[in-house]
Amino acid sequence: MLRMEKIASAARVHPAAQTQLQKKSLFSKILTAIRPYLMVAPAMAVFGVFILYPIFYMIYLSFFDWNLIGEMKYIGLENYTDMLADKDFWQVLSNSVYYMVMVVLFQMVLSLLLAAYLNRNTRVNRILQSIAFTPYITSMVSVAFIWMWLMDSDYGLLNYLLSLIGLGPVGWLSDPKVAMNSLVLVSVWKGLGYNTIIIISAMQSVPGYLYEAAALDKTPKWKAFWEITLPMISPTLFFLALMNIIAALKVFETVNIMTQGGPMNSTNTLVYNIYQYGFDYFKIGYASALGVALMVVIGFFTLIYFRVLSKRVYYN
Amino acid sequence: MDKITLKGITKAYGKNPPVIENLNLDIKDGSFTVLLGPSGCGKSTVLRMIAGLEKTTEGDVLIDGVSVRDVEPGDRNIAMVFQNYALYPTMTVRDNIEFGLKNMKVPKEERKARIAEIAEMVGLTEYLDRKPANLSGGQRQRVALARAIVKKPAVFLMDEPLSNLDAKLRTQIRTDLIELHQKLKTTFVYVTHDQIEAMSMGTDIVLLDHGKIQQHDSPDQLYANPSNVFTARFIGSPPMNILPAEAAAGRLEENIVKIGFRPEKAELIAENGTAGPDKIVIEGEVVAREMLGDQIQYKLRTPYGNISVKDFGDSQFGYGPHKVAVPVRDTACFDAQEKLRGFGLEKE
Repeated sequence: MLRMEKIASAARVHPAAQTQLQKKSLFSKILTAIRPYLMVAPAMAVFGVFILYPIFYMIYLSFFDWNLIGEMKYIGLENYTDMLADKDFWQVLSNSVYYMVMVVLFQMVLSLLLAAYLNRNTRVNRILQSIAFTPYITSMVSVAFIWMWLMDSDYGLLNYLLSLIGLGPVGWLSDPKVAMNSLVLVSVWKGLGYNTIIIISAMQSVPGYLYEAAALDKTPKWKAFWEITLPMISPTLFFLALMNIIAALKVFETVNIMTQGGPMNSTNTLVYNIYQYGFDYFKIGYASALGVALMVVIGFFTLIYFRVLSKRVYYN
Repeated sequence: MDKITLKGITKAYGKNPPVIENLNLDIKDGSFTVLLGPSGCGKSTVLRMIAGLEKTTEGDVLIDGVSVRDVEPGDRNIAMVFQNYALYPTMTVRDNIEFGLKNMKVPKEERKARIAEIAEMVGLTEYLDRKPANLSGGQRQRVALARAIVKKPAVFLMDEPLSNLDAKLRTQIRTDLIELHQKLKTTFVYVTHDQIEAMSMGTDIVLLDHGKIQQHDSPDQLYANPSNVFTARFIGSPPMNILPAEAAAGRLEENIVKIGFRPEKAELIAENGTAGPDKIVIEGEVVAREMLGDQIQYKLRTPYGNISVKDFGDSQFGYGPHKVAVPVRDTACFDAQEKLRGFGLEKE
């Protein structure tokens, strides 16, 4: 009975509280108005200093000729006209796009297949999942050195294995036709576990009753995967592919450690090219113009990607 | 003829004690059989074993007299409606309905015709191109039904299909399902914990508790002749009043341990009122009074436990001390095993 009384009194409107609401001071009104902005201010400050400012400063620098220590000379759009006229730029751009397409394609297909295989939650699969995840937590520099050693054309393990089955040596990192694919291989190997784990968790969030309904609908296994699993995990696949596209367009470490853009510029990519112009040749203006180009390329692919694919993604 | 036969079914998960042990059940062809019981009694498990979604630990399921032990769910000529409908969220209503037909290799023209017919029947024609997320609960429920009906199965399995709907829609779809059963004349196996659903729709009710069949009967028999105290307490709203035999003041046979009577058989009389010699009278106090329009339900506290009384007359009783009078011939008599011995078993 006492409880009921308590509930009833809590539900009643208290006149005192109402008048207090009306008497709010000007100061507290202003505080209420700016509170949300104060809350997000620290995050916005970090974003401004480390992301927005560098972007605008980069665009600003791209109109100058500057070697980092000397005088800055305004040259208008000359860096851009030089860049667009440069054969090397177009090769670097096509290298980057080729690398991106190959990495994303193999990354997505292989991790999807691996995830489908490892999806069942057995003890062996949990161990295999951990093993597949290990490359992701290893530092890129270590990974690059290990693969350099494996891919050495004279002493490398890969060529030794090929010789065992009677195949001649491959210039993994020295043949201009092969080198870029070797970098793709390293990147796919490193990212496979991560992508697989994310896809597995998406697969496990697909409700089991859908597969029961499918079983009652006489659905073959492959068709259930194609018509139920894939559409249900499409938001995850969409997100992963986009992350992979952006990461692949920004590739740097493997190029820097394993090939330095060679042989014959065949593995030179946009970011490595920026590094070369900035810190090898000290042409900061031109490097900035390349940076703007990279931003445009990433923006372009992201936009296309959203336009083409987002309609086919199922969001709950 | 029996459509589905369960022979000595046992189901255990892992090393735990079995949920269902040695269950035998015959489901008549063309019947609307309801598996009824409190949650955790194993009724859904039985349904899922018929569907083939769960394997039996022991025993056999026969459909049309043939064991379906090695028959895939999709090949059992059954359709199932799930509690949460299990619609494919990425597909439109049309694709949801068509999916099973495609897998059954039904020709395109026939698929079209069947979908048009079924959409008309359940009133979904204008929603065929929508995704399930853009439908109301009732519409989703109808898609689930359409998806089952369109396959023209020999058996419909339904796992609490109404429990996610609001009360008004539930009563409406209840009558729709009765109509559907009358029209299709196929076997329905329906799982629910709601005795009103079971009583209103079923032609046969199988009442389960702790994996054991308590009673398998028609709804009227289940109501009139509950074979034990559990059944008596489960069926009816409010259910049968069950009191210790002492409440009958020694008028009944020695071996009777508990007595029971339906709330509508009892009659409320004033504190100082009297009843005929053919009635058992129990004193008590009215503690709750519910006016339902056509009837008033009273809840009385008595020395033997609480009693519900339904009153259809005009007599208006208030709160406070009253008496309840029950005709002896309407009193169910249960023995020490809680089994029904008969009605009105008076001492010689």
